[in-house]
Amino acid sequence: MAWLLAALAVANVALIAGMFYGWVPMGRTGRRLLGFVVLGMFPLLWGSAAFSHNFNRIKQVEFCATCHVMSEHVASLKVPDETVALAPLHYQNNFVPQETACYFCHTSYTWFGPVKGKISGIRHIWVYYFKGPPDPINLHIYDPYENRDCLRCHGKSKRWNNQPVHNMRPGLKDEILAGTKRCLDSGCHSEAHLIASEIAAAAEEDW
Amino acid sequence: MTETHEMSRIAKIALVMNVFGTMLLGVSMFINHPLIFMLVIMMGVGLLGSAFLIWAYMAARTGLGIHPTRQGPG
Repeated sequence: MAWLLAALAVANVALIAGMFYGWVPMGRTGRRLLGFVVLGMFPLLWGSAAFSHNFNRIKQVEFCATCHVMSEHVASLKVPDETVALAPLHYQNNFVPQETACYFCHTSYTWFGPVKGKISGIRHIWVYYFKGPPDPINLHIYDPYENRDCLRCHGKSKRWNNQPVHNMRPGLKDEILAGTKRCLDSGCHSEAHLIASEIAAAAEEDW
Repeated sequence: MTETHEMSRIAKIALVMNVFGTMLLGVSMFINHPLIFMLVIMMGVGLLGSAFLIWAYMAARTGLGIHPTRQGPG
């Protein structure tokens, strides 16, 4: 797709050069038609396609991994025992799309969720260059992880609803649904990512 | 400067912005460095979008009959 779009871009530049230098003799109508194509339709159609291609590309786990700060967390998706944390469990069992796992879990399930996700990406760059690179081992998200991002999949599942722990006292499920009792911060599902050095440390402690 | 020359200059600016915007947005599809990617895509979208807006402005002027070639000799 990228190469097709690149080829179209080259074609457009060639058309503009032809129009600019008058390589192909044409009348006023021909010039207007060409202007309509290269100045009107091309930015609209090709620009939208290129923009959309880029936005889909930056959803990929590989793109997140291009920032070396994220390398430990991306590697944590592929730890041998996937049951140690939520991220490898979801990634390795394909509970989330594997190609876009980071984006899927870290984008709010709201109308402007994807937009906020992009703004977060820009914020990462700001933090990295103006506040100093964060420690790759101790990364924290800017805001607490919202329950609704878990419940968009789990909320309506029979397994989640019938889970005895979620029904251990009256009103608990309502608290979870309202977000006042957090899935990740309440000591229930606290391990989202478990990076290699933490696994090694835990193994040493066990030993 | 007559209005005809001015329109021609605007059209040239739009063409140049279109070319650079296209090149930058095209190159952005192959960049993996987050900062460079962000800068290139922002400049590319800005230039290409501006080129489009200039074209729309020129097309609107022509469509509304403001273009000098459509005006009478008076």
